[in-house]
Amino acid sequence: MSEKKQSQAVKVKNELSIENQHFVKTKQKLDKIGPGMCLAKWTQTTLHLQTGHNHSCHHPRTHKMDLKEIARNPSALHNTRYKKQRRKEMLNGKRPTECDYCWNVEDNSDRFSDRVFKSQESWSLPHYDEIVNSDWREDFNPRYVEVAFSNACNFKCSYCAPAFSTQWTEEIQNHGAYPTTDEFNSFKYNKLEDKMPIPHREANPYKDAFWKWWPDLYQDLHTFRITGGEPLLAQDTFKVMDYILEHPNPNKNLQLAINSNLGGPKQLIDKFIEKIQRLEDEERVREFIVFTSVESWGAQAEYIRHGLDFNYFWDNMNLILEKCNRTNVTIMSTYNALSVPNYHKLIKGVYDMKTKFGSSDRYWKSALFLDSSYLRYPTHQTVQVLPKEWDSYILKHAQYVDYMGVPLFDHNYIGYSDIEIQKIKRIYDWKTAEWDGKEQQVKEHRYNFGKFFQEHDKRRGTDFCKTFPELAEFYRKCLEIRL
Amino acid sequence: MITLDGKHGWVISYTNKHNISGKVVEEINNGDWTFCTSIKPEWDVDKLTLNINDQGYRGGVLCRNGMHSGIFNVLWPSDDGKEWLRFIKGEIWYDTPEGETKIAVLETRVGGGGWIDIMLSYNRKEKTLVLETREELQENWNTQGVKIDGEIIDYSGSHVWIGCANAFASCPEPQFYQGHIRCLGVFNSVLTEEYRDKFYKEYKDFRGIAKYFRGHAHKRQVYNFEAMKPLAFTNFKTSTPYKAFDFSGNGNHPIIYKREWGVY
Repeated sequence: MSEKKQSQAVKVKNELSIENQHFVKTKQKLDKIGPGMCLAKWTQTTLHLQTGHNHSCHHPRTHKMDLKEIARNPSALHNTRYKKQRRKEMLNGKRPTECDYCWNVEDNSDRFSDRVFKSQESWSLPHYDEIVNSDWREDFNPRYVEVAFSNACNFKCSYCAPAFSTQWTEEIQNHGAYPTTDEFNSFKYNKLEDKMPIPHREANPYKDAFWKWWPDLYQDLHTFRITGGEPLLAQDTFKVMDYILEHPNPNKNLQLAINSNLGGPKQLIDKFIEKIQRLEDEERVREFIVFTSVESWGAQAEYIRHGLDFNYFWDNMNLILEKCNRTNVTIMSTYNALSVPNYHKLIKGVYDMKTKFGSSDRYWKSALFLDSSYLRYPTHQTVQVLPKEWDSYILKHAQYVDYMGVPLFDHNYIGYSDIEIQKIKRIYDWKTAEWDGKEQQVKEHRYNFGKFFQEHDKRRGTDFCKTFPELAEFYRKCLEIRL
Repeated sequence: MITLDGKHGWVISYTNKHNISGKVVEEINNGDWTFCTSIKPEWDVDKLTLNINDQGYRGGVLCRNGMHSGIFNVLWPSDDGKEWLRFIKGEIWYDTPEGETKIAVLETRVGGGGWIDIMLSYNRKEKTLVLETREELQENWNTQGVKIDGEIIDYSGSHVWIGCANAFASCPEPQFYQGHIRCLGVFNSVLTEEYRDKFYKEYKDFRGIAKYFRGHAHKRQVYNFEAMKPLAFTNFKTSTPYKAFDFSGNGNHPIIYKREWGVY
């Protein structure tokens, strides 16, 4: 390491030490057990019940749950034999290979890895003693649970996949994979990884196991989040809400979050709102958050999220914030190449809603958050495919959010938070980053961009050039690429 | 247009805390610069707080903190005490070759009570400071210049303040301005007459995010000021309760700043 780099590293380390004493302490506690120790392996889980897969923390790949195990012990949806082996490694001072995301961070920088952040969370750290003193074979009820009950979905967003959308499943069944070099959304990947979704109208043993486990799990939960598919199309979502509404001794510390594309039938939206109101009025949960998604504005947003009626979606978001005065809504925006031309309109729309509905009655003062993350897959739709001239546009989006940001010195005002600003800046940083072989990779991704949207228009009756006139020239050039 | 009541100012931070400035205003430490503004100051002595030895008033219009420099408006009694004289001043501190720190001051008398267009520029190679002013209904500009015998003192880390010299609670001489300001421009060059006239002709048109983001706008500067090396410009028409939109493309949005907020 050069002297300059070394001194920078020392500086970063010092800054971290000064500013994040809590993280330093947590890392020391974890390292006492071993360099691979991470509480999230016990405290957090994501259950994909439609495919029978799960993982603890989003970084390791998902693994299959064992049907025999869950028939005996429904908590094996989380406490799988496979996962217990990884816990054993952690407790014995080893680093599980599947957690290499964190090892890469720790071995190549002075930054804290996610194992520190996730272990530091209020749903993790309080359970440190219980976990480190337990036997690796013991079951542990997770505190932060995400669950997808089914892949039933009324949308087929351009970047989504059959595992999460019945509309996508149907399209691939009828037309096959897309003609990209990686055969986008081919069933062969689902089959290879044993991730073929169980049709949502068929019996699902994973779901059955979940409901057996639920009464025991519920009281221990810190956060419960329902994903999908479109959760409002799954009866189980309302079953969860009803369970909490009818429980004689509800877990009042629960943070309940439900994802929804807010594009379902009106009666389901109304039913959803009515139940949120009751949960709030009867104070049966500590916090209720609706997570939704949109990546642009108007027709361009509708193109990205096939099935979306933008105005209907926006009205539904308004309705929730109007009728549920303690609820917060977060837009999980997967910023992608098609977001760039019109993202400023979304930024403004969100700001207007923040201003309209912001109130200290809500758990978070800002009623609505714009959580912008960059799309990583499919690679043909990431911002990386765009020519350099679009870089400044992404930076301008960050500057625009900053313009509508809350100055740090006044907490009475409602606007964009530092995190919302930084997340867009991060997209710009990623877009402008250089790495070996980037040019060649991007060339292939652009080729796939052309192939994908050409086929998209053909299959779905859409018109890319009409919807994205700003990108029409680029799209045509992509179609001319020969590999 | 903004109206300043003598109790608060605005600031453009020398650097953006999120590191999202295209070019930071601190760039002016390394090259030529021009400050442009158009103001209608409060000249009624009964409405002003005398802040220079209880004898006169001085307001910071477009300034840098440290040893305050930039554009000021000054109200000062005549020698016989019978009238109040109105001035616009352009000031900068510098170190002489002998090691002394001195101030270069350019000033112009103001006749009317209307709007005044002001431009203060510094040519680093020629070491010349130039103040140009033009009162409402006046066709020609008054121009004055001075050659600096030395080097401008180090202003790194200084913010650009609007409507005060420095609003930090720690500053004993905030020199809050009272009156109206309808535009500002900070450029990393000395504006030629052509560009000066272009700025004052076009600044009223800066408005609307839609135009700023219009399709293909990424391929050109919306206001075609690129050759002027803009660092920030606004007319305050596009704003939130806290910030004015910087149309330069650099994201150096001026932020309102109240003295009670302490140190930024």
